[in-house]
Amino acid sequence: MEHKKRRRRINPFEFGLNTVIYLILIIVGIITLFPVVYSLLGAFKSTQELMTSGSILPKQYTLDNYKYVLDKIDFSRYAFNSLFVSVMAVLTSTLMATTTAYTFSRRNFVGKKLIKTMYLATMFIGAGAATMYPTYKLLVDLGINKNYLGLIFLNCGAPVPIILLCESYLKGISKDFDDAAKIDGCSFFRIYAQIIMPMLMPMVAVNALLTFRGVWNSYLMPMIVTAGQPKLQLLTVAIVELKTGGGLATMWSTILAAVNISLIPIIIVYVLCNKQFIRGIAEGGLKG
Amino acid sequence: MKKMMKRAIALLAIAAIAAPLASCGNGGSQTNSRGKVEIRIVTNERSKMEDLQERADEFNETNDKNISIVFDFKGDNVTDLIKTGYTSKSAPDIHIGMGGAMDLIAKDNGWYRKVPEETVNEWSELYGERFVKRETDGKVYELGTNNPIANCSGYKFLWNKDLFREAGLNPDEAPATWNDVREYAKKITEIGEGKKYGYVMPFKDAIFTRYYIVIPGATSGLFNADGFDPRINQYDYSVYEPLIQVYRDIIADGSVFPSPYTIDNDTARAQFAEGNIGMICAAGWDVDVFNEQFEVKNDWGIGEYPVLDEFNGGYPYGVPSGGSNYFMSAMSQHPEEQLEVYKWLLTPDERNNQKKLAQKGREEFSIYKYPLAKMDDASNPGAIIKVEGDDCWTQLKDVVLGTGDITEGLAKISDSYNSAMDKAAAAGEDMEVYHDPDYSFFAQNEAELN
Repeated sequence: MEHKKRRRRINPFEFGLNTVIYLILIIVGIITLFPVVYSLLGAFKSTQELMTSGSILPKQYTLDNYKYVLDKIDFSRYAFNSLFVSVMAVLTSTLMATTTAYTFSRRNFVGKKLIKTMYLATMFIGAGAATMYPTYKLLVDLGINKNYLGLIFLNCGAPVPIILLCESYLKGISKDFDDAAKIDGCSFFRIYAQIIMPMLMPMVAVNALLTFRGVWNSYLMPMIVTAGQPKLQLLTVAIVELKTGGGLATMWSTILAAVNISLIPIIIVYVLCNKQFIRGIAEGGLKG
Repeated sequence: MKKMMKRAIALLAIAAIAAPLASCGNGGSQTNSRGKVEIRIVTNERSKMEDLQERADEFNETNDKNISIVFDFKGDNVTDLIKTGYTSKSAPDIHIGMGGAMDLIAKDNGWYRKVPEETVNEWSELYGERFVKRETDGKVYELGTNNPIANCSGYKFLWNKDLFREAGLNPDEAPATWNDVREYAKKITEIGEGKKYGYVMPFKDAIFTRYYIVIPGATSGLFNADGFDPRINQYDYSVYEPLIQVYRDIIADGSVFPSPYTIDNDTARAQFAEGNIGMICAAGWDVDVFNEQFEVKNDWGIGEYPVLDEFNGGYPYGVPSGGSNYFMSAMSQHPEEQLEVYKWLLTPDERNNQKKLAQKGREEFSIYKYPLAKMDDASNPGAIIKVEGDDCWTQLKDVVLGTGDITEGLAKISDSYNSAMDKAAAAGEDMEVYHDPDYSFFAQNEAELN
């Protein structure tokens, strides 16, 4: 009994180490959360107060910034545009990533190594801004630079890391499934659609989250593609354009309000895909 | 899963079918679903957004030429967007200028459409002396009227009357000289107890040295076309030395709002509105900011820029910002409708003028009591020379806020620009076209005002 009652002896070194670790985590947590808290509270201030007051808390709470965003900038249209393009990009890139990975993992064909090497090369060689003009020119030449198709086309390619994750995951799935399906008369594509795809759902969730986030936050190319097409603008472009030109002051509080609203869909997607996402990342790395 | 796949495929198919239906041509203009010719206008003039959109809606409803105007209000990225539009042959029909250098390149490349001669003549007859005709190589690419209200008028000096009162200064009079500015700034800062300051230098964006040194300098007769003197065909920044010396003195006194290197114009305007800054340089568009965006919590005055002591006894020159700065693309598929909309866009909107005039400060900004100094950046070779290192604004900022010798600093800027001119000449550019020994820095109404 006495032994049970005795307190566990605290190791000073362990205590010190834990204190340092917790301190670092708290500091990292504050640094990470500060912009979010600043943005949430800043949207309740007037821009004038935001730019002149040293306090993070508003002196006087106002909903004017949210009202302005919802009333004046056709927020629902831009939100719809972003949502539509993001969802379409998720669907197309998922299709591309899973079919590519399935083919790489199950078929041997001439030039497979070369194609895979070229895919891999794009991960290491970033052409960056140099690709902007040729990409836009391609959209113009295809005649899809003035509609949703252009915006979807920009994002329909499968991210190479996702292809690799899917391929690695598929290698861990026994080919016996394919053989059994073949015996039952399934075609290559039907095996993909009815046997492989359901098993790839954690990978699909990873791709959905990353692609949705990427497209939802994309700015530069959507800005170029929608120049002169204000009805097609994505939310990010509309928000950045609140940062006015022509001599007026930038209404930072309004921008913060718009940013806060635009965070909602990404949070919903994260909540929906969270479990699958973590499973996908863990299993994609382990299997194969 | 099967259901999901089917839905996904169906959605993709719908998008693939529907999206191209919305596509029509690659140029700026297109035909909308109601069969109207759409003329696209890209601008960054958000300060006029509501007025322009209201006028466009009215035009779209009432015009009998089957035209529909689509405005696209952009932010700071407007130049890159327009440039990309031209290089990919999908430029807007009409757009705001890309800036002195880019506009000249665009004209050289044949991107901009020349204004037809009959339109120039028509405009000239209609607006007489108010007509602004900007020519490049004898060709007119831009129409405009010298309309101080619509074109944001010129540049003035604002002060906080409440702080003037508290500091024992006459609240109804602007400082007459820059040395007065220094003295007043000192007094205001003294009573400000570390919270309020006499003057502000928002030099985070180096271009603001233009609005705080080059333009105010012109009111003291420090004439220069952004550093270039066409009379000697050379850059000469040394003219700004007396004003920069005053700025250095104000900084040394501690009378400037902290900190000039990192404060931008939005913060400066917000702090002025909040009552923490005694004096500020301003343009017409700042009046819109103080009337429509920031609540100015003090009584403020508007006056002419102060002048240098050695210029005192003369009069300050007014500095207008005229013209329209709108251009037509030569790639438009509907040139007739494009010209129609261009003329509509540049017609002074008297209704809007009256609305603006009712706002505080607008009237003061629209009246020039003194001869106007010309600040015409088209008269300098900045567009074709390639300067090594920082541009003149960044170098000017370093000279004002630095501690080195002012004369040497300014000479360095002149040298960098003059050597760029020499290189351009060596590369075959004809630099003599910028030489004009009789160049006058006065705008057209000098005689009228004298």
